[in-house]
Amino acid sequence: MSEAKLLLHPSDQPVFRLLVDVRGCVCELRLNDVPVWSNAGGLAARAVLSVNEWLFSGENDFTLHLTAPPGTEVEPGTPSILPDTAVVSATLLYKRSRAPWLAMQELYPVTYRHDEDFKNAGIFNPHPDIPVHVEPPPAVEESAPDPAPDPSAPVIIHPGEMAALPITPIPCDWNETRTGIRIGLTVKLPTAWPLCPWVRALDLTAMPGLDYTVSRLVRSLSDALQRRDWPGLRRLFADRRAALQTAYYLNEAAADEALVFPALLKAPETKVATVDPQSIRGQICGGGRLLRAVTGDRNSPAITLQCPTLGCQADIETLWLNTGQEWRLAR
Amino acid sequence: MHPFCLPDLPARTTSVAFPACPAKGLGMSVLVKSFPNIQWSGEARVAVRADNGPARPVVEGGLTIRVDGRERTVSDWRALRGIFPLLGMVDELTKTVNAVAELTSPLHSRGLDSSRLQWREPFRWDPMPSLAVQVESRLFEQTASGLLGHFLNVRITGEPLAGATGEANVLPILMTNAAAEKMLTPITGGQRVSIAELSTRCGVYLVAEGRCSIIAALRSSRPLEAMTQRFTSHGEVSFSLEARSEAEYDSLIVSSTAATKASEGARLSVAFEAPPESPLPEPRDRKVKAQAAFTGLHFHGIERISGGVRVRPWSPPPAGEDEPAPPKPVSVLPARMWPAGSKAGELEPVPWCHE
Repeated sequence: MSEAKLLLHPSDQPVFRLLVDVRGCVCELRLNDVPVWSNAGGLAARAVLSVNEWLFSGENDFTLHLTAPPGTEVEPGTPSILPDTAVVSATLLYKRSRAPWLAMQELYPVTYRHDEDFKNAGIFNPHPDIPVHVEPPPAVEESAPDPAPDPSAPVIIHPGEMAALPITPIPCDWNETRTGIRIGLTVKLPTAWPLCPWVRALDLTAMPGLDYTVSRLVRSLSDALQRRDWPGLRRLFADRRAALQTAYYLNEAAADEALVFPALLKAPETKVATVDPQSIRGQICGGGRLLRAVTGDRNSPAITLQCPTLGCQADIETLWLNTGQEWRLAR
Repeated sequence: MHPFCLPDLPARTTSVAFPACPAKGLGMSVLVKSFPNIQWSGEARVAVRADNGPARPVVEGGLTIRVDGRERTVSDWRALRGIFPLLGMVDELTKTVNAVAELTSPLHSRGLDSSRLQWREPFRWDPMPSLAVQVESRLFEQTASGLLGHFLNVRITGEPLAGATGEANVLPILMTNAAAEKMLTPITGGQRVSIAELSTRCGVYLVAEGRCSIIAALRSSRPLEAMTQRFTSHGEVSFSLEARSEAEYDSLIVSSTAATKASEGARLSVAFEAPPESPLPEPRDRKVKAQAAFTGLHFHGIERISGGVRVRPWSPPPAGEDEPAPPKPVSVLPARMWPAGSKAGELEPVPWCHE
C-alpha cells in the first residue's frame, strides 16, 4: 500500500486525474464498476481523464480491463489473449483546482507489459491446483503491538489539513471470461467526500425486461433532445449537472458549459442520430445498481448527436438508476 | 578496406562454429579470415550531433590498421560505415533526430502562452543516438606449440543507443495542417479560433520517454578459447501525443499510433532476429539480423469527454452511404527502418513552417 500526503478535504478543491497510455490492446477503464472510457477501436491512445465526478467516500476502484484488438483471434486462458506488444500504463494524478499543471503530483503508477508481466504476475498457470505465488506467513511479533485504531471510526479531516491518502494496487488477474487481463488500484477517500448516489438504488441484476426499459428511456430522452425541450432536459440532467458542479467547483455558467450537449444543441443543424430501438441494450454496471444504455458491437452509448456545422459528433453516456418509484438519470 | 577480408593478401581461413545460445537460438557458423602481419585495433564512437544546425553523425576516435610496419587510422564516417554496416543505422537515426527537431522546435510556439499547461521538462534527446565500435584483430604465437593463433575482439555497443525525455507543444503545428485541424474540432468547437487564444486553454504535447540500448559483441582466441558472442537489445523510446485542458472537467484523449500499425504506439527500438535453425545455402544468410526501427507517428484525432458526453471529429458520409468515413490519419513523424526502407507512413505530412 502507498500513502500520499495531500490536502484532502473537498473544500480544498482537490482534482484527481488519471493519465492512461494504451498501446497494442483495447483498454476499458472502469471506476467503481462504471465504464468511464475505452479505446474501443483498439487504436493506441493517451488519455488524460478527469475523474472527480466518479469519486465518493470510501474505497474507489480504478480497474483497467485489457483485451485483444478487434480482429485478433485469442484462446481464452492462454498468453495469446493479448499481443506481445500490449503495454498499458496508468498514473493517478492530483492537483488543486485551477492550479497550473506544473503543480500536478503523480500519486501512483500502474503498468502492465504483456511480454514481461504476464508470467511474472502468476496468472498464467497451466496447473491451477498448484499456486504460483505463495505468500509467506506474516511474522509474529513477540512484543505486544500498539492497539490498532478502530477501522469503523470515521476519520475526521478538516479543511486545510494534510492527510494520508491510502492507495492499494489491484493485482493483475484474469477477467471473468479469461479473455483479458484486469489491473488497477484502489483509493480510499475519507467521509468528507459525498456518498455514492446509487448505493441505495435497487439492485437491477434480477430485474426482467431491462432492454425494453432502457430502450424506452432512451427514446424518451432522444425525443426531448430533438425537440430541444430545455425545461425537460434540465430536470433529466439535474443530477449530472449537480455532480459536475460539486466535483469541479463550478459556477452556474461553467456547469452548463461542462454539460457540453446544450452548446451542441444550440446549432439548429444538430440532430439526434436515429437508432433502431431493437438494437438498444441495457448494460448493468456500478455494482448492479446502474443501467447503461448501449448499442452496437462495441457497446457504444445509445444516443449520438451529429453536428455538421461544428464538424463533430457527440455520444451521450446515459446511466440510469431505479429508486423504487422511478427511473432517474444518475449520470 | 575491411578488417577481415583483404583479397590481395594470402589469408588463413578458419571455420568457426558459434555456440548456440539456448535462450534466443542464435546458432550460426561463419568464416573468419586472418592475415599475417595485419593488425586492427582501436575504438571509434559515432554520435549524432546538432550544433546550431541539422544533426549529423560525428566520429570520435578511430580504428588503426598496421600492415608491414605502416599505420593508417580509419576515422571518417563513410569508411567506418563501409567496414561495419551495422553502424548504418546511425544514418536513419540522424534523419529521425532531424524530423523530431523540426516538430519540437520552440519556433512553432513562439509568442504563445501555454505556461499553465506545461508539465514536464522541454523535450530533449537523453542522450542523442550514438554507437561505439571496438576492434582488436591480430595473430599471436602460441607459447606451447609456436603455431600462430588469431585473437579477435569486435564489439559494437550503444549503451544506451538513444534516449529521450520531456515534451514539446505541437498544437501550433497541427493547426497549420488542414487535415489535422479537422481532427481538432472537439477542442476548437469547429470554429476558426486563433492559436494564441486556443493555446491558453488547450495543449497537445509530444511526450517522449525511455531509452534503448544494443550490444553486439564477438570474441575469439583461436584455437585456445571458444568463440563467445553476445547480441542483445533492450528497451525502447516511446513517443505519444498527450492533450491537456485548462478546464478541470475536460478529459482529452489523443489517438497517436505507429505508422506501421494503428494499434501500436510510436517507438524507437532495436531488435535482433535469430537466424533460422535450418542450414541455408549462403553463410551470409545465417547472420543474426539487426533491425533498428522508428515506427513513425500518426495522428488519428482527439476526443473530449465532459459531463458524460464524448465529442469526436465528424465528417460527412460519402455519397450513397449512411456512415461517415473514418478520417485518414495525419503523418506527424515518418517511419524509418534500418536496414530496409519502409513504405509505412507515406501519408500527407504536417508541413513545417520554418521562419
